[in-house]
Amino acid sequence: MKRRFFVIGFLCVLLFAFRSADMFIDLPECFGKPVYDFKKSPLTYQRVELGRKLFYDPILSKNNQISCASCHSSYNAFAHIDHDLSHGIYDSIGKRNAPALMNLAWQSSFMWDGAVNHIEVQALAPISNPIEMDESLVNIVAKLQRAQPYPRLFFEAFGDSVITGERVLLSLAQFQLTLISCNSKYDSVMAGTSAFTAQEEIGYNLFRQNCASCHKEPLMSNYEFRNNGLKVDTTLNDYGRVVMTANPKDSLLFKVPTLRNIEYTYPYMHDGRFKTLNQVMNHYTSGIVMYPTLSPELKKPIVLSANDKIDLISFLLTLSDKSFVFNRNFAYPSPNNSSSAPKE
Amino acid sequence: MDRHLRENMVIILHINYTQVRAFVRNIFVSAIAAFVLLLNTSFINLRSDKITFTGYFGTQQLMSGKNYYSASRGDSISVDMLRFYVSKVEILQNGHVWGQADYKLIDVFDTASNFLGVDYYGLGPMTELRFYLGIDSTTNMAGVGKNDLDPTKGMYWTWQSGYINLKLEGASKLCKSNRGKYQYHIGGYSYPANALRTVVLKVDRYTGEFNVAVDVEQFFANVDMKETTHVMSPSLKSQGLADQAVKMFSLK
Repeated sequence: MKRRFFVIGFLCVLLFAFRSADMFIDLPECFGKPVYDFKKSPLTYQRVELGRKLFYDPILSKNNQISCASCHSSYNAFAHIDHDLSHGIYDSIGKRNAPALMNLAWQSSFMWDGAVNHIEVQALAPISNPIEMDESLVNIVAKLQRAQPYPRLFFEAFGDSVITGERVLLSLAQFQLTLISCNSKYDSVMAGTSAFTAQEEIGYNLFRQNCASCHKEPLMSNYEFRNNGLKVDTTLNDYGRVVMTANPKDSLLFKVPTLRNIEYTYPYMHDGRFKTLNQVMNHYTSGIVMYPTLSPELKKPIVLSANDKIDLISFLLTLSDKSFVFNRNFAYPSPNNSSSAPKE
Repeated sequence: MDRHLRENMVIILHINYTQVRAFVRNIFVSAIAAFVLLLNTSFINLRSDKITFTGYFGTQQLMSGKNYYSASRGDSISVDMLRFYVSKVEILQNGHVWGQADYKLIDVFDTASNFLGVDYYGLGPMTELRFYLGIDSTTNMAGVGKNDLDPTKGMYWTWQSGYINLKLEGASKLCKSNRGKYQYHIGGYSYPANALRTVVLKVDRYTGEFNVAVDVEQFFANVDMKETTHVMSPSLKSQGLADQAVKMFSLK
């Protein structure tokens, strides 16, 4: 009797396994418990691949010319290389530097000013911004319904071919959640499988003394908002987080960016004003403007000799993750999607 | 008789006695359960109460784009759009919640989406209808929503996360804006700009149907329409308008 129940149970499980065509993806557990609730919407291969296709498809913009990848290139750790301010549709110039995208599952807010509270709704901001993609989610849904092979891809990802705003946004989020970078030299040193050079070691100690309170290990950011003493650019007059909160204490506060892959994500700062890491070093040692909302950590001057700066930069370069920037699963999807099948 | 045997017999007898007691109790409980079940099937049915929202301007039924003269404001006002979320919709009897519905986007000008149903098992009469006007902070923090919460419904801010609890748009000569237009997009889910409000309506005469009047004149009565013509972000102004919006609701 017991055996019969067992067999029936086993057949049910088998049936269920075959019924659900979804292949679930397990993410590497690099940084402990993520902020994102993967239990609520588990990543599936079909949704991630659909999100990837959408990420690279200019159909998301009003004139079908700008995609997410226009400003977030995989080869630059999903930042916008060589552009201080990102340019969007009709050659419009934005107000801020496109941030690099990585380890987003561990972030609780998005955008330089934290305007977005969840990765699933983040894409609405650039899509709707008139100088970025200038498109509405309603139009995108209408366009995707007519664009092959999207109805089929939505069917494969969601079990029916109905395209909704929710599904578009969820797919985009699922792809971006897979963008995990934790395979740098720094990571292998921390894991004990590699060692810093003498210069990197000195740089690491300087980093821990001067930078690590905001650029907290191992994510290399505390993802909080800080005023890091940048002089206000009077052509932009961007006061950061205060626009969201209307709290004067938030004047000139911007999200602390991660330092991971910093080698690839130039230019630097929320407005991309510094082209090189040297300029960044010089800002922190001699360029800080003493605004009332200046981060308390920066009120005491940071003293670094010319050699210190070189050593610190040599450490920062250990945060480069080549396996991340050259990951073919993150790059422009091939037409038949065959190169990116999940490895079992 | 052997002493040990006697003790054993006592134990056996005791076990039998407790088993009999449990048996009798089980029959008694089953009988009560059967009786209650019988009661349920005959008297306590699954009810589905319909809650319908109808727009009014004072005593007149509200039509899209039509001008209504407001005696208190001394000029006419028209409304093109009146859409809002109701969530955690509860039907109560003497303070006890009998039925609940999660959320619904109401458009008073669209007869296909100006109502919702609340299912429950219970005996009438219900004494209270209660709902949130808007979407609570937990839902606002939970990422993208589906169905009526899909951002394609036009009730989600794009440049800053958060649902728009209520949209009221139209025109009046009272407004100093271009072509006298006004746009009130009320929302904001977190301190200090929380615009979520609770509407509580007492039921005088329960019929199994709730006809909720949404009287926009009550809203306009205390809004400075000359200066306040466009409110489209979470703010103190948005909260003031949310307080006015609650006053629109009454049971017909």
